Amino acid sequence: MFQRLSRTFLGALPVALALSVGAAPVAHAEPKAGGTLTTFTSGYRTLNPAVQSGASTGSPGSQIFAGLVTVGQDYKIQPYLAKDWEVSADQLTVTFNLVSGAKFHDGAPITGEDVKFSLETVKANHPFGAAMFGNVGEIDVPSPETVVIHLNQPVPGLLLSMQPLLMPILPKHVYGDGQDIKTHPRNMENVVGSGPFKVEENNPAERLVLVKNEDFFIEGRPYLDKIVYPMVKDPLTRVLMLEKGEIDFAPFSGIRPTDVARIERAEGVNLTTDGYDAIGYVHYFEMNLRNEPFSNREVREALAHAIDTGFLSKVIFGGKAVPGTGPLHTGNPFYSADVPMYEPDMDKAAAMLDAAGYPVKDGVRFSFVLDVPSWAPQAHVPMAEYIQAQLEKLNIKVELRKAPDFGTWVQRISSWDYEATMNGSFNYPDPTIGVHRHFDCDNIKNVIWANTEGYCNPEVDKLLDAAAVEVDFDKRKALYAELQKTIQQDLVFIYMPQDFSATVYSDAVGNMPDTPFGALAPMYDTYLDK
Amino acid sequence: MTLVEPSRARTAPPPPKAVSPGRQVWQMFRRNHSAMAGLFILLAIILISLVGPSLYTVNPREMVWMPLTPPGQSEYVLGTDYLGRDLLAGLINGGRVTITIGVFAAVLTVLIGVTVGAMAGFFGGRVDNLLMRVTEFFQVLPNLLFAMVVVMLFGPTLVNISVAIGIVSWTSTARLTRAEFLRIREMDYVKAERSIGAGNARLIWKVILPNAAPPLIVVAALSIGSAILFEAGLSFLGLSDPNAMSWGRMIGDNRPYILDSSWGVTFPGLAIFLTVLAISLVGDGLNDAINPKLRQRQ
Amino acid sequence: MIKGTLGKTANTVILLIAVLVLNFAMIHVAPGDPVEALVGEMGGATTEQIAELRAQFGLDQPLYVQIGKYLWNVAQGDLGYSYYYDQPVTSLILDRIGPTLLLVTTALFSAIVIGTVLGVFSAQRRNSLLSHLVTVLSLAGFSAPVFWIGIMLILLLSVAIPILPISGMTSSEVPEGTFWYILDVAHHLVLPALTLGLIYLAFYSRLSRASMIEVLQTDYVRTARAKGLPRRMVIYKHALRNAVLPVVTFAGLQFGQVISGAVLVETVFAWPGLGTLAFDSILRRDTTTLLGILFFSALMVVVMNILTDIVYRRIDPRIKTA
Repeated sequence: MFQRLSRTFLGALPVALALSVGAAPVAHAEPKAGGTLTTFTSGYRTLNPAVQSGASTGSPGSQIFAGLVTVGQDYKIQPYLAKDWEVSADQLTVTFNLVSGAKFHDGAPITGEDVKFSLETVKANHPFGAAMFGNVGEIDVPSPETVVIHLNQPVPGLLLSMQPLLMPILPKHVYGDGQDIKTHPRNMENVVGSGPFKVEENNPAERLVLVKNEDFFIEGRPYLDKIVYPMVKDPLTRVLMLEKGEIDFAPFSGIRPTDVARIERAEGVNLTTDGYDAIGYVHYFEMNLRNEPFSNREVREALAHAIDTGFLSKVIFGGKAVPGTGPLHTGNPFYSADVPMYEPDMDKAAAMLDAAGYPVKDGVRFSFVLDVPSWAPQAHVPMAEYIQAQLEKLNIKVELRKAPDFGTWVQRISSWDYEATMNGSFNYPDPTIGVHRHFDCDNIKNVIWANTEGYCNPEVDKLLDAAAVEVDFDKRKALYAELQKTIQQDLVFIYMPQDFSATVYSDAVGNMPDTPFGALAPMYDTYLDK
Repeated sequence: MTLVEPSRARTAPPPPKAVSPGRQVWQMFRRNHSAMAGLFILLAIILISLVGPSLYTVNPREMVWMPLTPPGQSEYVLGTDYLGRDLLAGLINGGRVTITIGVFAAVLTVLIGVTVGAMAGFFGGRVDNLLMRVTEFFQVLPNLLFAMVVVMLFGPTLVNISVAIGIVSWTSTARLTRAEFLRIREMDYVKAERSIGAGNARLIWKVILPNAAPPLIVVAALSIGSAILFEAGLSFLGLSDPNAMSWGRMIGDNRPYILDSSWGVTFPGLAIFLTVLAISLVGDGLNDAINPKLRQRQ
Repeated sequence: MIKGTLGKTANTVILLIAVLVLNFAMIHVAPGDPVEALVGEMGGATTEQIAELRAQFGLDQPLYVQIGKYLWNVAQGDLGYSYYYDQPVTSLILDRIGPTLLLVTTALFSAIVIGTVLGVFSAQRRNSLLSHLVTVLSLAGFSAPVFWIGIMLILLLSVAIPILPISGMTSSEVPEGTFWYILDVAHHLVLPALTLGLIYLAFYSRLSRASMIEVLQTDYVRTARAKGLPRRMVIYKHALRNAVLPVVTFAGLQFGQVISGAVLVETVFAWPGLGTLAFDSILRRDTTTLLGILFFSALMVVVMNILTDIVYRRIDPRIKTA
């Protein structure tokens, strides 16, 4: 992919041309400047995406901070703060040329030193820092508008990670004061960004207000005067507000499949599930593979036949959640559908359990504790309740253990002190970030969302190592296809329906951000036509 | 908080045991229509909870029908919840859990409260001082919040939930018991028992406690009701045992769906309401029947 | 008397320290810690990053050192720093106490006034319709879960007859101008205050009714009436004053428990007060904030007890300072 993109973009594209590539879902007249876009937040702990992954920080964060590039439709890399870039023939040196005259919100110029500082900060502090930039070596700044990155090994996903969500351009003169950036006071107070919008009011309990950055480095952008994020944590309230049109634009709307009909009935309000491919939110049933009975592949296969994910997605999620088929999200560029499937069949499941040495004894085959985390209850609670009721029919006793808070669950899973858990994670577009971590033998660590299940297959490791540095898109895709097949064959996880994520927006919103990163991409092209 | 206060106006020793006090109370109680109504409702609810699950055998955890089916539109008469589970089965099975927690927590409340109160009231002095400090300590803690913290830290199992409720609820029982003990301790018949050499244990459990019992019985009855409400509150906040269906949990589970299905919260709420109402009626009836001062008034 | 006051003060201080120590120990002994929660929120971290955070929070030190440090900071008025909200806990609490006080004061005050009036009137005519109504109302209020009443009121007044907002304290677009702002908040306040108020009303009407009945039967009221004093004067001058005493006591107690009392109602209506803050900090294992709130509410109870004492003395002439 890297190579394809670098080929396409080696010759610099003018900024204006790149901008016109942006998507326009609703046919509107000419974009209009002005207006206040009302969206919402369900709470955030920091506005600095360099130290926090996820949508709550990322969605305002990508407006406040600029990145070197943006990601357009079909994962096309487009110029942003970098007007162009060059990749050396050996794929080990990348040179970015920055646009001239770009300024931070406090008026200080954005220089190569800031880019260097940002990359080093992200590498050391972001949860994915090591996965994204572990192979970044020296960074040179030969002139204020040039940055040269030297790589120890080719990094095929490097440019994908250079957009504001994952690599926000931070002001060195603010964050470089020696304080720990993870708890830096300027992450929340008097935030100085580099992006199209500035923070006007930041009161996490009530609202966040962003206003247009008049000195933004792209001429004539952004269109919007203001973006308001009222704090709406309660999903019920959110649905009512959406229905009444009190919110113009609600990415990660948190609405449930059962609410879709209500929203679709409402006048002037639309719903789309586009804009979530890059995040790639998958859910799965994770078993601790170190212990009986889950160390036995036959048992896992029996469970795969017993758990009807089609029923879950059709009935419980109202047909709105796509069943997962493997570690990659169906919207990922490397997704492959060619994997072993396990059709629902309770008799077969029972026979397999008998054969595996788990016959019904005193009414029970075996019992286990299923942990249910607290961070995605709308998905994990129905799944866990279904699994409990379903396995009861096979005489397997499932005891649900709901973690009251995040930390308790993290502690249990990351110390491998669990039998099975509902889980979910983000792919992110490049599998090295969100996928490798679950299967790499070297990543069997006491860290959450690492290889906590204890899966180690040398063949898989070889695939992962090869895919990590393969710069030819098609060859890389073939490697990942093989990976998906093997993971499904080994039944490392039992994949559940993918997350139902939807954006609700009013007719007035023009140039809705519906690229793979959706609302986590900068919205300088978005406008209101009220 | 209960409104039962120490029967401080009583000056006379307990009446001679011509008619058994139990029978006397029952006779008073029986004449109270609302109390009798409460008793019948309560017995009916208990009966349903006991035998219901074996008569109506739908598994309350099984997803049996389309989610959010309204009442009367399928063989599941009260409709289904957000996962397509039978609400009626949930109500019948949930009653068992809710009432069990209520009773268990109330027993704990009374046990701790009476023990602390009796010790403090009987021994007085330093013991009293110390125990009252402890009581004050628990009164100062914000009760629901503290219970939430306890359940969060030690896990939402039925036992932990009951214990958490008991821990934060016993203080008023202790104060009431102490007041009763302070009063009865000075009565002539207690002094008489002491003079013929009765030990402390005998005085506390055999002599004073039976005479202090009437208001305590009322408190015990009413605290089942408040424990049920407490459990419902915790469940509503998500601090419930995920393996046991309780009424509070049903409300909490279905609350996000009230726009499309009001029945999911209405029925379990009504069940709680009816049960606690019945307990209150019985408690009030008992209070009127037991408290002679009130009896005079009517 | 000075000695008594000193003793009371010492007692209070010891009590508060005990609250701090117990809560601190309990929360820190339990499995899971704030760093794990924070790491989860951040989307994961490496082992080194986790160790570094733990050292930064002082969690690598022995428990008694942590408690000691915490007590020392609290003594200086510093309740610690919330890593989740990236703010000092004291300022977090001060930000959120306003909405909670607004909600609870409105509910409690209206309930006390209406409840006392209902109770006093119904006590004088014990078999009137009003009296029965008060009994039924208070029984119902006692028996229904407060959050359920809230949901039912939402279904009635926000969904079926949509005249009141379903939740929150202000509209998403806050109206310009102080007057409109106040009106907007008031509009949002109606449902939560009504919900909480109904529960309080049940309690106070019953309490004042019971206490009025009792007072009316006391010897001195009978004497006053026997002396031929007008009925109204007897009731309002003598009886009411005494009947109000328990109301004051319980109001003080309940006001001290505002945060606990408000958790459920604030959750139902997403009211941005201390109750929702407490609930969130439990879910996020934000221990400093949680400890801060537990301590703060203990402090509220203590302060309210002292205030109740003072008010009590003013109303009841029989109590002399010890």
